[in-house]
Amino acid sequence: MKELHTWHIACHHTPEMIDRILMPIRKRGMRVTSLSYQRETETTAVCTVAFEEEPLIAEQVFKNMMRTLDITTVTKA
Amino acid sequence: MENDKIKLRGADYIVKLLECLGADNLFAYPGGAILPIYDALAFSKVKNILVRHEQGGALAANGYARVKGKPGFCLSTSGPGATNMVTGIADAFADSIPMIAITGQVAGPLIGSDAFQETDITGICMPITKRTYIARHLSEVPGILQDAYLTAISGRPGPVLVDIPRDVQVATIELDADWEQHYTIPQRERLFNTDDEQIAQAVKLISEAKKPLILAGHGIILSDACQEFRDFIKREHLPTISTILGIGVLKHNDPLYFSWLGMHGTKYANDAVQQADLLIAVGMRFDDRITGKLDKFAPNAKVVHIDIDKSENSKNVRANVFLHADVKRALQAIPDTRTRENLRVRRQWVEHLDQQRAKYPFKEANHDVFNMITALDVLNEVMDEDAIVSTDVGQHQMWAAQYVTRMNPNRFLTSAGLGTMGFGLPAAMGAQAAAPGNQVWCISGDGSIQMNIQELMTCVQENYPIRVLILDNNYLGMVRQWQEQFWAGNYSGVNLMNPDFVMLAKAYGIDAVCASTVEEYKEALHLASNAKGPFLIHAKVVKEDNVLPMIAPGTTLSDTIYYPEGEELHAKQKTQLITR
Repeated sequence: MKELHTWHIACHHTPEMIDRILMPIRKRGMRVTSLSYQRETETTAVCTVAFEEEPLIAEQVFKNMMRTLDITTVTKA
Repeated sequence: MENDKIKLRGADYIVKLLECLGADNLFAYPGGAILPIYDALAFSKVKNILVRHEQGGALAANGYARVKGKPGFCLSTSGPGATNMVTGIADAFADSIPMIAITGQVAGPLIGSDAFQETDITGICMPITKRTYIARHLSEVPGILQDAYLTAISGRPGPVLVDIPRDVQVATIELDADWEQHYTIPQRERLFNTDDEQIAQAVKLISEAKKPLILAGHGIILSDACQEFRDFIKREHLPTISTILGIGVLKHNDPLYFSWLGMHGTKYANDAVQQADLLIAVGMRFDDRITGKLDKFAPNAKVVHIDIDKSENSKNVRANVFLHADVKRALQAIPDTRTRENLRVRRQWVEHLDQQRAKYPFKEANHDVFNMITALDVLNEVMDEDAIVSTDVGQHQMWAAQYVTRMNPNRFLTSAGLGTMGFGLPAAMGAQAAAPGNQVWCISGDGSIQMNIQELMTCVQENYPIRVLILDNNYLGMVRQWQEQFWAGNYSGVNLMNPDFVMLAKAYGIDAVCASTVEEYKEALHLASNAKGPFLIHAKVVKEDNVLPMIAPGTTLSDTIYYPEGEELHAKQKTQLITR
């Protein structure tokens, strides 16, 4: 059963950051429901991303995001 | 007093930065967007190795890094040069190899204009790198290269890509005359993100386990923690099995080493996992090739998992305790868990595993039949103890892992995660560059070798005395095996028509011989062992043979298929030999 997952992501502000956040979602052929990205400081940013997916797959996406070097934390809303 | 100033062209500056970062070997191929750097390389102490294909360059840097334990460097031009490196970079990402790939790019103002040989290589490589960088200004390059180096070696190692537009290479910069003295090689910090309570939980599980089993992975080698690991195992008297990339963490003849597990690992290692009540997984990631069907993996075992990558925590197999740390530091932090009682229990468990090892060995090579097993078994007898072996991918790879025994880490190089056919020869080049004094063997198949065979010429030009062994069964053997076993014997696209490899090698200027019998092969090995330069053996082996033991897809480690009865097997092999 698909659920809406809304995650708040603290990350470094780099040229590839948005792409890297989306990568584990995109590579599974999934769609993002919404996305907001805001630079916070010279080097940091925050992002909120939402997508619909089954919990098990969402957990795999989460693990993939945790491997992304410039993602500091992922908080599930 | 103001420092003396010097002016440098971008390309010269970049090459000097590479020198400062210890890039002694650069596996590279030129082209328009990287020409300024090539101009500078002509005056550099960096050894510029002209590969014959950029994939060969990336895989050679990969092999270099595995042997040297520090990042390998490769370089290409933009567009097709850059995209040709992609497989080598992906391979490094899959096996956590520190590597710095540098690409030329069209000049900044041309990016996005669909310029000649323009491609978005950072975009292409994002999923297969830890980070990518585009240098927009020359002043950014030193910081980018330092960050790239640190990123490649830190945490879970991996490849990075630095894209340098042509205008950055031809810009000029004014620097303090002594700038090189202040440009340092970054050092990795050894992560230890775990606390006393977690250590205590791990110690409790280890102390109380009746059938503890260590799963030793590549992370031990990457952490340069083999000595600590060997000391730990010896002290604790814990039986150990390894992943295929963990081969060499213990000497193969260490009584506590019970070989490697997985799809074509030993039956006794796979059975041990299913019987264990505690797995202590060290620097490994529970790849699907070792777990088999996940929900039946290690059904009786709790899991202590030590890994530097927090994303591995319960990713595939749930960990009861996860120690998020560099292996070296984690092992140093685990105190002696021995008690009189648990040592007695461990000895009993090891005794049981010894019996299993005696009962289910890899089958003995039959020297009456010239098959891949015989070839590898004989090679293993004559090879230097500290020789470096690289393999390609397929049946020969699995048999090499089974029959070529190694005593030390980084002596068995194989593409495990990505399974890159074409890995063997360029990786051997990288290995030879990293360890010029060591004997290097490339064990390949007739399919794999043709993926990067052009690098034979690089071996000649660089005088890499690599011994290439082509185990030729006129098939893409592993695919054929799967078609036989799981696709009703419907052979499709696996029958290989091959060139005359000896003539081909000679055309490259390489001494080569063909062997069709065990006797001819032994003579060939003798010639190869005494060769001063590269040497190639074309071994025509039994055409159809299957790699066993095997965990069939969708089954469990408990279902590991062992060998059929000896006589049936021999009969089958003889028939196939005759029908070839």
